Formats: sequence, structure tokens, C-alpha cells
Amino acid sequence: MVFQNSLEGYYKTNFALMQYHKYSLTEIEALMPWEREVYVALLKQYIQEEKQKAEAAASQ
Amino acid sequence: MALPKVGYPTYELDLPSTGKKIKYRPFVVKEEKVLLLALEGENEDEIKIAVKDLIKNCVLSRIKVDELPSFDLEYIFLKIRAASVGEVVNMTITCRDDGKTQVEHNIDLNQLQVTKPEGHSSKIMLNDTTGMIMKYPSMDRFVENEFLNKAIKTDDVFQFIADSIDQIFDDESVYDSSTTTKKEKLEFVESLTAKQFESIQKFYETMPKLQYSFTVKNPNTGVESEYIIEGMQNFLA
Repeated sequence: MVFQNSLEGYYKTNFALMQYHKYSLTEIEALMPWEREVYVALLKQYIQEEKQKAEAAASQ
Repeated sequence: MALPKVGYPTYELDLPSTGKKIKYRPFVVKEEKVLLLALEGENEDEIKIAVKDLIKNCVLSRIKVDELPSFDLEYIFLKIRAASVGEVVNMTITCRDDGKTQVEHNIDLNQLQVTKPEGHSSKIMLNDTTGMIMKYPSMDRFVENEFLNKAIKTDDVFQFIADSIDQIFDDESVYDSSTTTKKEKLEFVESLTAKQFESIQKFYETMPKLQYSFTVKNPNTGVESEYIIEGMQNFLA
């Protein structure tokens, strides 16, 4: 693949960023592709940490 | 020449054909979408336009992109891709010795260079006095090869060679596109002998190309195999 994304993956990622994380399409489209990957990775990390915090709080 | 976009980094590269420095910027998500849409549609004209526009938009220096040889374009495109998506391309290689073990191999796109074979020249002598100066394949041909997997039909070979002739010369005159029609060039090509055709074939075979060689060791058998990949499509397949 010339790019990391397929067209389907492209729209899915953009939709998730807009729907769940309050990004605007204009903001996403102005990013460089590697920047968007960085934000996605950071979001994944954040969600994982929040999940762990919630699990820790639930177990106490 | 595209207007600079504020807020994006710019990079420099040396054109392999001339050594001239050109500036470029990465493409953005919006531009990636245009090419993804064109590739998905599989429409030849749309893909050509999308690739041309992408390169033209990202190259900030004053150069005629349409006139660059294909190996320059491949190099520019990979550099733009490296700056936009990432410098490392991960490939899964099937080991040659057993034909089934798969090994991951990373290629750093910044290490890729255009190799120029020794003895290659765009000047082809057909006999002692008559010869031709050849042009490298155009951007349209580059797009057809790299994105459309379009093979050249036998009937198109004469046409292709005629299109690639920059000048024809003998001991008295030089004939270029200002003095020679396309039809005349085609008739000239059709009149060449098999031996003269071999010289033309050699020109295309020894054309500078984007090439990368590496060895992969099969973890099961310990056997090392050498691989050579050429052309942008192979790098990003």
C-alpha cells in the first residue's frame, strides 16, 4: 500500500475521532498522516489508563 | 509551483538526475484522501491527476514536474511519503530457501538512493555518424507503471520509443521536435535494425533506478537470502 490506510480505515478513524473525541474534520484533514497516527496512539494510551483507573476504583 | 503552506515543515532533497536541490513539504490527511479516493475508483485518468496534483502541491521549488524522469519522480514521491506517513516501511518477506517462512523486515526510506549503472548514456549511436538523444519516461508513464500496473503492449513499443526521442542527429544536422513530426519519428524508429534496437533496449535496461538490496536470514534454517527491490510499487507493496 502506498499509504498506511485503506479508504475504509481512513473514514473509520476520522469518524471515531470526530464522534468520540470532539475533533473537527477540518482539524483532522489539516494534520499530516503521521501526526494523526500519533494522536490516535495517545488517545489509545489515555483510554487504557482511564480503563485501568476505573477498574482499580471498582475493585476497592 | 505550489504556494507554501504555513505551519508545515519543509525539507530539501537533491534530484538524482541533476543534483539540483528542491524543497518539498509533507502531504496532509486531506491530500491523502484525494489519492485514496482515486486509487479506490481505479479510474486511470483520476489516478494520474491525483498523483500529479499531490507531487505538484508538495514540491515548493520551481521545477517542471511533468518533464522529470520517472526515477526522479519515484525518489521525490518516496521522500514526500517518508515525511508524511513515516520513514519506515514494514515488509513481510517469504524466505526463498523454504518458500514458506515469513520474516518481518523494516526499510528506512531515507536510505534509498537512485543507482546509476556505469556506462549508461542517453546518447545512442546507431552508426558512426547517426545517433539519438533519448528522454527518460514521462510522468504519465510513471503513473501507469507504479499505480495502474499497466504493461506496455507490443504495438505500443514503437510509439513509446518515438515519444522518448529527444533529438536525432547525423554529421550535418540535429532534428528535434521543432523540426520533426511525431509521425516522422515513428517512421524513423520503424526503420531501425534489430541491432540498433538492442542499443535502445540497453538504454532502458540500464536506466537509473531506485533500488534497495538486503539479506534476510531464515530463523528456522539459518540460510541467508538476498533480495533486491526496485521501483516505488515494490517498496510500498
